[in-house]
This record gives sequence, structure tokens and C-alpha cells, in this order.
Amino acid sequence: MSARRASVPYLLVLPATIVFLVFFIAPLVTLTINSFYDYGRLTGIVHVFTLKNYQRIWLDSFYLEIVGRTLRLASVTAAITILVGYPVALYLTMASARVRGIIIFLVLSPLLVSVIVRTFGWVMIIGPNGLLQSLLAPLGAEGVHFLHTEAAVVVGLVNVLMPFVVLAVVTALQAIDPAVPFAAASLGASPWRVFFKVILPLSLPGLLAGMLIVFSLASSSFVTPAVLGGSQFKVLSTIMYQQALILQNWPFAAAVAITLVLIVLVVVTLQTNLAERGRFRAMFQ
Amino acid sequence: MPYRSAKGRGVDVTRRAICLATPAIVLSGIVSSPARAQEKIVLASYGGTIEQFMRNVAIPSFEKETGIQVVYVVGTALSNYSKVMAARRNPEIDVYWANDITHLGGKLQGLYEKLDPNIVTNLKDVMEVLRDPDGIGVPSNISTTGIQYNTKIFKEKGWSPPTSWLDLWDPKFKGRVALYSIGVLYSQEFLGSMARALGGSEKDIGPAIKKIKELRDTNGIVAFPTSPADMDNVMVQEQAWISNNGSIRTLALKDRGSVLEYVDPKEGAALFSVNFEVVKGSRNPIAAQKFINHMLTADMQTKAAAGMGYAPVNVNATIPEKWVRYMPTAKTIHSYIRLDREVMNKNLDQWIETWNREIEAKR
Repeated sequence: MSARRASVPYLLVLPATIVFLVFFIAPLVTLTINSFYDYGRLTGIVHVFTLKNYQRIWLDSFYLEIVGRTLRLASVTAAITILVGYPVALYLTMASARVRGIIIFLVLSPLLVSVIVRTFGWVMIIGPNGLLQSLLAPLGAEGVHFLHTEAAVVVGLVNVLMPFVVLAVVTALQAIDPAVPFAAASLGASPWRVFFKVILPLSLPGLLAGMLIVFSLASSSFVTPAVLGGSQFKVLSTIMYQQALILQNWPFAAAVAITLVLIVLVVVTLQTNLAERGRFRAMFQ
Repeated sequence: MPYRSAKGRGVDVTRRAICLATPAIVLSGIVSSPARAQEKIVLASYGGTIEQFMRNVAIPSFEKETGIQVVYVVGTALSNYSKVMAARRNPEIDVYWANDITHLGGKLQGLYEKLDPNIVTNLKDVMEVLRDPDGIGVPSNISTTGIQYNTKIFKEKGWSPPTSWLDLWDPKFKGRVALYSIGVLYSQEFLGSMARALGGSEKDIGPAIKKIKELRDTNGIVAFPTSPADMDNVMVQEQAWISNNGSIRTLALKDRGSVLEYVDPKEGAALFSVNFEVVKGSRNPIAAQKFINHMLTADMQTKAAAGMGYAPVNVNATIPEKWVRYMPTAKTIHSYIRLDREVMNKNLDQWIETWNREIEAKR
């Protein structure tokens, strides 16, 4: 009986483990192996070990710039999503049940629309002859549009990634004992002080989780940078697409993919480590 | 019910055989026959105007004629090529509609079957200069890459139509030039044509890259569309007034009353083809070749010219009156630029890399 009971937790995680192994670990291993193969236009994939693909990314300023741009895009998107999403989450915890329902629906709405439709919606708003342009025209700013800029990509990404921040932060905020901020206020702290000294530190785990999700999703997004950034705005995902689909250079595309995975991994580890050692480490234990 | 002859109950063997064979050929396209597994082929093809024509005209007549069902897969030459390559051990696609480069690339990697001239009987009517020397695959339609421009704007400004690629460098087009992203064949054709015009060649694109970079720095490139539909938007919305585009794209738009016009540059328009390939390992190579043969008949080629704006390769096909001046024929085909596909295929990664770095990059 007890042996059977002991096996229950394993049985429970079994389906998830299988899915994870088959659809994540196995492809990742294949991808890693592929990234060390050589490729020639006339020969196709050559099954010999080479570091050429990685040298090409890591030792060439053209590709390093693309790595940098991807990092910057993901960081800026994460920062802005937090700035926009945090107040929404804060308001959510204080709102009435009805208002909360409406806001949660509004916050989740970008996820209900397919990425293609949503992205082309943004093209119609910020593109040439778009809504923004016709609104700005009477103000004397004619022909202004910011489609195919980094700002356009950030706007599109913040739009779709905000739910992740809001939900993560709300969970953290709801876990705070309401007595704690009250205690601070009754001891004479101003509302701002209560927020910065009590609520914000207590919600840090949620904020950090949301930020990491946004960072990793933004750094690997494809449709948004491809459509809103235009073909001149190259990030790792669009380079991967060009190499894999247009040039059939799967080994190089695989190396770009592994590079992206490594970057996200390093950022996540660093951020978690810093959090666990920093001033508010108690929050993460 | 498969056969109409249900009333003839005590039919003898011969009549029964005829009853079985005839409808199989003639009727199974019209009358469904659930009892018999239907032969079918998977065609990896294109979207847009081409898809409309294939679904409404070409495929129904083939299914009616042969009883072979065609499963239509939408993609681009490149996305479908990736599929053919990825599934080379167990192909799902029977007929792949390639472009020049993927025809050659796939041929070199042994992805396609040789065609049997006894099944693809119309092969003999295909312009000889276009046929594959090794009999692998066959060009099905041709078109050209030249200059597309907006006649409405040109009329308003009182400008005469462009005649040369170099007209794109004219300062009057400042901020109004669009070039395809280099992943699209039209820009590869443009780059190769410019290389030749400037004394380089497919092996030496340096001069062309330098000149096109100059275009970017002086006139500016307002957009680098990554698909023909993308370019249509840029041109129709008048973001750009002039671009490098295929005549087929312009003809499709002209058919719907667009003010866009196409002209062959005096340096020569670059000729390209789309090619049918039977994928190696296809389970239905005969049905696949029957389909290819169907697409090559003079009748279907004539209809394709009118319906898709693609010039025929069958010498017996007729080009509609309105498109005569746009379409190459067996007589005029030698006046077009035919870039060396072998060199292009070999160097494509360098072409794209150089263009990415020098031209299609954020400044």
C-alpha cells in the first residue's frame, strides 16, 4: 500500500514528463547536434563536426549586432511591460469583483486574437495611411508613421505580453497579508512609502517571474518583429527563418537557435541568482 | 452510384469490364464512387491568383478527365521546398511546383524524378531552350522581372515611362523606390541583372552591390517587401511609385483595373520559370506525371496565360491579345536575360549575406 502511495507523485508527473521529453528535450538535442554540422549549397548538410556555425555568429560584428538588438528588444519590452502592467495589477487587487472580471477579460483579450490578425491590426493603426496618421494629420504632423521601427515592434510585443505580467503580479499582490500595509500606514507611512517600502518588495517574486516570461517570449518572437519591424529590423528569430527557409542552411539556423536558448538561459539564471542574493532575498525563499 | 448501367443485370464479362473501365476514366470525377479507393496526388503549389486558377480551372478539368484527385497544398516555392527536403525519406508531396533555383538545387541533391516522355507527351511541345537537359522536371510557365511603376503618378507629374533599371536612381523618385527583400526571387534577378549591366556577372556582384547601395543612400528604399502581396500593398497604397517586380504580378493587378504598369528595362528583363517536379519516392509517380502533362497541354497553357498571367512554354499555346506585349515567346525568348542558375544557386548564400549587410540593414 505504502509503496503504491509513494509512486503516486511520479505517476502524476509522468504525462508531463513524456510531453516534455518528446516535444522539448528530443528536438533540442537534435537541434544541438545539427548546429555542429556543416552545410554547402551544392552538398546539402554535411555530417562532420564543425564549430563554423558558432564562430560565424559569435565572431562577426554583423551577427553580434543582431544578438545585441535581440537582447535590447527583449529587455526594453520587459521593462515597458512591467511599467504598464504593474499599475493594472495593483488596481485589479483593489477593484470590485465585477470590475475585476471586466479588466481581466480586457487584459487577456490580446491572447484571444491570433498573432497574425493582431499584428496586422497594428499595421493598420501605425502604418502609412493608418489610423495614427489620420489622427496626427490635423495637428500638422503629416506623413508621420512608425511602422518598421523598433518602437513598433516594442508596442506590438507589449500589447500581447502584458497579460503575463499582470497575472504574475496579481498573484503576488494577493498573497500579501492586508494587515501588513495597514500596519505600515498606521505607523505613519505615507501611501507612497507604503507602496515602495512594503507592497513593491513583497510583490517582487511575481514581478520578476512576469519579467522573465516577457523577456524570453519577446526574444524569441517572430511574427511581430517580422511584420512590424520590417525586413531591415533583423533579430535572431528572423535570421533563423531566412537561413532555414530561404537558404535551407539548417545547421546555421540551428546554431542561431541554440545561441538564443543560451542567452535566455543565462539571463534567467543571472536574474534569479541576483534576486536570491540581493537585499530582498527573503522574498524568494 | 458508380455506374449508370445498373439495369443490365446479367451482363457478361466483357460488358462488365467495359462498364468498370469506362466510368473509371470518364465519370469518377463527376460521380462519386465510394466503393473504390480514389487515386490522388498531393500538389505543393502557390497561393493568390495562382491558387484561384488552379482550383477553379486546371484541377477540376484534370480530375474530370482522369479521376485522379488533386490535394492542393498552399505555400511558396521555398516553404514547399523545405517540406520536400524535410520529408525526403517519406515524401508526402507528389508534385512540387518549384522555381528555377529550387529546381536546380533539388536536382543536384537528387530530390526529383526524371520525367517519362511517354507519359508527359506534351514535353515535345515545350520550347527547346527551356527544357531540362537531363529530363528532370519541366518548366511549366515563364515570366519576367522588370520595372513596375504607377501610371497615375507618372501622368500627374508629366513623366514619361521608365525605360532602364537606372531610372530607379533618378532623384525624382526620392523616397518612392521599393525593392523586394533579397529572399524573394525578383530581387535576386534584379541583383544579377544589375551585375551584368555594370560589367560584373553572376560570379561578381560587387559592382551591383555598390551601385544599389548608392540607390539606398541617395533615393532611399521606402520598403523591402518580403512577399509579392506585401509589395502589392506598398505599390497600391502609393508608398512607392516604382519597384522591381515580375510581369505576372502586374498582369494580375491590371486584370483588376490597377493603375500599375510593367515595363521591360532596356538592359533586358530577366526570364524565370516555374517548374513541375515529381518528387523522388512519390507513391503516385504516374498520376503525378499525368497531372504535369495536363498542365502542359496547349489548351491549359493558353488558359493559364489568360487566367494567371503566366506566359506559356508550349509552342502551340496562344497568348491572349491584351498580354502579347508582356509575354516572351519562342521567337523573342532569346532577347531576355537568362541568369546562370548554377552560379546563382551556388552563391545564393553569399548574395543574401552581402545584400543583408550592405543594403537591407538598418543604418
